[in-house]
Amino acid sequence: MTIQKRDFSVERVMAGMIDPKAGAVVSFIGTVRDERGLRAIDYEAYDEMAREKLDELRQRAVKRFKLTRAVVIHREGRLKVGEKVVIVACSAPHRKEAFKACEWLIAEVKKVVPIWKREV
Amino acid sequence: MKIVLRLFSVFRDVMGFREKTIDIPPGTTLEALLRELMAQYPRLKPHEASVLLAVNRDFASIKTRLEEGDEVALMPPIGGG
Repeated sequence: MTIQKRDFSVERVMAGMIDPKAGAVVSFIGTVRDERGLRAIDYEAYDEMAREKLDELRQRAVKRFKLTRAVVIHREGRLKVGEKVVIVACSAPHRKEAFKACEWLIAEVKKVVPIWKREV
Repeated sequence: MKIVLRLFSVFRDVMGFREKTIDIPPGTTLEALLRELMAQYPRLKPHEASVLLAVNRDFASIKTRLEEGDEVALMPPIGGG
Protein backbone atom coordinates (compact mmCIF):
# COMPACT_ATOMS: atom_id res chain seq x y z
CA MET A 1 0.00 0.00 0.00
CA THR A 2 1.81 3.09 -1.13
CA ILE A 3 1.46 6.69 -2.12
CA GLN A 4 4.42 7.63 -4.27
CA LYS A 5 5.62 10.21 -6.77
CA ARG A 6 7.51 7.84 -9.03
CA ASP A 7 5.93 5.63 -11.66
CA PHE A 8 5.31 1.97 -10.89
CA SER A 9 6.10 -1.08 -12.99
CA VAL A 10 2.91 -3.00 -13.77
CA GLU A 11 4.98 -6.07 -14.49
CA ARG A 12 6.68 -5.93 -11.13
CA VAL A 13 3.40 -5.37 -9.27
CA MET A 14 1.76 -8.28 -11.08
CA ALA A 15 4.73 -10.56 -10.47
CA GLY A 16 4.22 -9.91 -6.76
CA MET A 17 0.60 -11.05 -6.98
CA ILE A 18 1.34 -14.61 -8.02
CA ASP A 19 0.40 -16.93 -5.21
CA PRO A 20 0.21 -20.74 -5.25
CA LYS A 21 -3.22 -20.58 -3.58
CA ALA A 22 -4.59 -18.17 -6.19
CA GLY A 23 -6.11 -19.11 -9.51
CA ALA A 24 -6.89 -15.55 -10.57
CA VAL A 25 -5.20 -12.16 -10.54
CA VAL A 26 -7.26 -9.11 -11.53
CA SER A 27 -5.88 -5.62 -11.83
CA PHE A 28 -7.18 -2.13 -12.52
CA ILE A 29 -4.97 0.71 -13.73
CA GLY A 30 -6.26 4.28 -13.67
CA THR A 31 -4.65 6.77 -16.06
CA VAL A 32 -4.96 10.51 -16.81
CA ARG A 33 -7.59 10.88 -19.53
CA ASP A 34 -7.31 13.47 -22.32
CA GLU A 35 -10.29 15.79 -21.85
CA ARG A 36 -11.04 19.32 -23.03
CA GLY A 37 -7.43 20.24 -23.67
CA LEU A 38 -6.28 19.02 -20.28
CA ARG A 39 -2.49 18.69 -20.06
CA ALA A 40 -1.95 17.22 -16.63
CA ILE A 41 -3.44 16.66 -13.21
CA ASP A 42 -1.81 17.58 -9.92
CA TYR A 43 -2.46 14.92 -7.30
CA GLU A 44 -2.09 15.78 -3.65
CA ALA A 45 -2.38 13.35 -0.76
CA TYR A 46 -2.52 13.54 3.01
CA ASP A 47 0.26 10.97 2.93
CA GLU A 48 0.14 9.53 6.44
CA MET A 49 -3.63 9.22 6.55
CA ALA A 50 -3.82 7.94 2.97
CA ARG A 51 -1.38 5.13 3.80
CA GLU A 52 -3.36 4.16 6.88
CA LYS A 53 -6.64 4.19 4.94
CA LEU A 54 -5.13 2.12 2.11
CA ASP A 55 -3.91 -0.40 4.62
CA GLU A 56 -7.33 -0.62 6.28
CA LEU A 57 -8.99 -1.09 2.89
CA ARG A 58 -6.54 -3.81 1.92
CA GLN A 59 -7.26 -5.71 5.12
CA ARG A 60 -11.00 -5.32 4.66
CA ALA A 61 -10.81 -6.49 1.03
CA VAL A 62 -8.72 -9.55 1.94
CA LYS A 63 -11.22 -10.55 4.61
CA ARG A 64 -14.39 -9.74 2.69
CA PHE A 65 -13.44 -11.42 -0.61
CA LYS A 66 -11.08 -14.06 0.83
CA LEU A 67 -8.17 -12.80 -1.23
CA THR A 68 -4.74 -14.31 -1.19
CA ARG A 69 -3.11 -10.94 -1.94
CA ALA A 70 -4.13 -7.33 -2.57
CA VAL A 71 -2.18 -4.21 -3.42
CA VAL A 72 -2.90 -0.55 -4.18
CA ILE A 73 -0.33 1.99 -5.34
CA HIS A 74 -1.49 5.58 -5.90
CA ARG A 75 0.77 8.27 -7.30
CA GLU A 76 0.95 11.94 -6.31
CA GLY A 77 2.44 15.02 -7.93
CA ARG A 78 1.94 16.23 -11.51
CA LEU A 79 0.83 13.50 -13.91
CA LYS A 80 0.48 14.12 -17.62
CA VAL A 81 -2.24 12.79 -19.94
CA GLY A 82 -1.70 9.06 -20.45
CA GLU A 83 0.35 8.57 -17.30
CA LYS A 84 -0.57 5.91 -14.78
CA VAL A 85 -2.21 7.20 -11.60
CA VAL A 86 -3.24 4.13 -9.64
CA ILE A 87 -3.00 0.36 -9.71
CA VAL A 88 -5.21 -2.02 -7.77
CA ALA A 89 -4.46 -5.73 -7.96
CA CYS A 90 -6.15 -8.63 -6.22
CA SER A 91 -5.45 -12.33 -6.30
CA ALA A 92 -7.95 -14.94 -5.18
CA PRO A 93 -8.55 -18.66 -5.55
CA HIS A 94 -11.25 -17.94 -8.17
CA ARG A 95 -11.79 -15.11 -10.68
CA LYS A 96 -15.21 -14.01 -9.44
CA GLU A 97 -13.87 -12.84 -6.08
CA ALA A 98 -10.80 -11.27 -7.69
CA PHE A 99 -12.95 -9.19 -10.09
CA LYS A 100 -15.38 -8.15 -7.37
CA ALA A 101 -12.63 -7.23 -4.94
CA CYS A 102 -10.76 -5.16 -7.50
CA GLU A 103 -13.86 -3.12 -8.33
CA TRP A 104 -14.75 -2.70 -4.64
CA LEU A 105 -11.24 -1.58 -3.76
CA ILE A 106 -10.93 1.13 -6.41
CA ALA A 107 -14.40 2.44 -5.50
CA GLU A 108 -13.45 2.60 -1.81
CA VAL A 109 -10.12 4.28 -2.62
CA LYS A 110 -12.04 7.04 -4.38
CA LYS A 111 -14.35 7.42 -1.39
CA VAL A 112 -12.14 7.27 1.70
CA VAL A 113 -8.47 7.77 0.82
CA PRO A 114 -7.57 11.46 1.22
CA ILE A 115 -6.25 12.30 -2.23
CA TRP A 116 -7.26 15.30 -4.32
CA LYS A 117 -6.70 16.28 -7.91
CA ARG A 118 -6.54 19.56 -9.76
CA GLU A 119 -6.52 19.97 -13.49
CA VAL A 120 -3.59 21.82 -15.00
CA MET B 1 -3.63 23.67 24.67
CA LYS B 2 -1.74 23.22 21.44
CA ILE B 3 -2.93 21.37 18.35
CA VAL B 4 -1.47 21.01 14.88
CA LEU B 5 -3.64 22.25 12.04
CA ARG B 6 -3.00 20.74 8.61
CA LEU B 7 -4.61 22.10 5.46
CA PHE B 8 -5.05 20.41 2.14
CA SER B 9 -5.88 21.50 -1.39
CA VAL B 10 -8.30 24.44 -1.49
CA PHE B 11 -8.03 25.02 2.28
CA ARG B 12 -4.33 25.75 1.92
CA ASP B 13 -5.14 28.33 -0.79
CA VAL B 14 -7.86 29.93 1.29
CA MET B 15 -5.91 30.14 4.56
CA GLY B 16 -2.44 30.58 3.11
CA PHE B 17 -0.48 27.96 5.03
CA ARG B 18 0.14 24.24 5.01
CA GLU B 19 0.61 23.47 8.68
CA LYS B 20 0.55 25.45 11.88
CA THR B 21 0.58 24.79 15.62
CA ILE B 22 -2.19 26.80 17.22
CA ASP B 23 -3.31 27.44 20.78
CA ILE B 24 -6.95 26.74 21.61
CA PRO B 25 -8.89 26.58 24.89
CA PRO B 26 -9.01 23.11 26.51
CA GLY B 27 -12.13 21.16 25.59
CA THR B 28 -12.64 22.91 22.26
CA THR B 29 -14.74 20.90 19.81
CA LEU B 30 -14.08 20.68 16.09
CA GLU B 31 -17.25 22.70 15.60
CA ALA B 32 -15.95 25.53 17.79
CA LEU B 33 -12.56 25.42 16.12
CA LEU B 34 -14.16 25.66 12.70
CA ARG B 35 -16.30 28.60 13.83
CA GLU B 36 -13.22 30.37 15.15
CA LEU B 37 -11.30 29.72 11.94
CA MET B 38 -14.19 31.06 9.85
CA ALA B 39 -14.17 34.24 11.89
CA GLN B 40 -10.44 34.61 11.23
CA TYR B 41 -10.61 33.52 7.59
CA PRO B 42 -13.96 34.64 6.10
CA ARG B 43 -13.01 32.99 2.78
CA LEU B 44 -13.54 29.63 4.51
CA LYS B 45 -17.28 30.21 4.71
CA PRO B 46 -18.19 28.95 1.20
CA HIS B 47 -16.41 25.66 2.00
CA GLU B 48 -18.19 25.09 5.31
CA ALA B 49 -20.72 22.61 3.94
CA SER B 50 -18.18 20.46 2.12
CA VAL B 51 -15.25 20.39 4.53
CA LEU B 52 -14.00 16.98 5.63
CA LEU B 53 -12.40 16.86 9.06
CA ALA B 54 -9.87 14.43 10.42
CA VAL B 55 -8.35 14.14 13.87
CA ASN B 56 -5.16 12.14 14.18
CA ARG B 57 -5.54 10.77 10.67
CA ASP B 58 -9.07 9.51 11.06
CA PHE B 59 -12.32 11.11 9.87
CA ALA B 60 -13.99 12.90 12.74
CA SER B 61 -17.41 14.36 13.40
CA ILE B 62 -17.88 18.01 14.15
CA LYS B 63 -18.79 17.13 17.76
CA THR B 64 -15.33 15.68 18.47
CA ARG B 65 -13.67 17.21 21.52
CA LEU B 66 -10.04 18.01 20.84
CA GLU B 67 -7.11 17.11 23.05
CA GLU B 68 -3.62 18.47 23.52
CA GLY B 69 -1.33 17.50 20.65
CA ASP B 70 -4.12 16.46 18.26
CA GLU B 71 -3.48 16.73 14.55
CA VAL B 72 -6.51 18.30 12.90
CA ALA B 73 -6.88 18.29 9.12
CA LEU B 74 -9.23 20.34 6.94
CA MET B 75 -9.83 18.66 3.61
CA PRO B 76 -12.12 19.12 0.61
CA PRO B 77 -14.20 16.18 -0.65
CA ILE B 78 -11.98 13.28 -1.68
CA GLY B 79 -11.23 12.80 -5.34
CA GLY B 80 -8.36 10.49 -6.13
CA GLY B 81 -8.11 7.70 -8.70
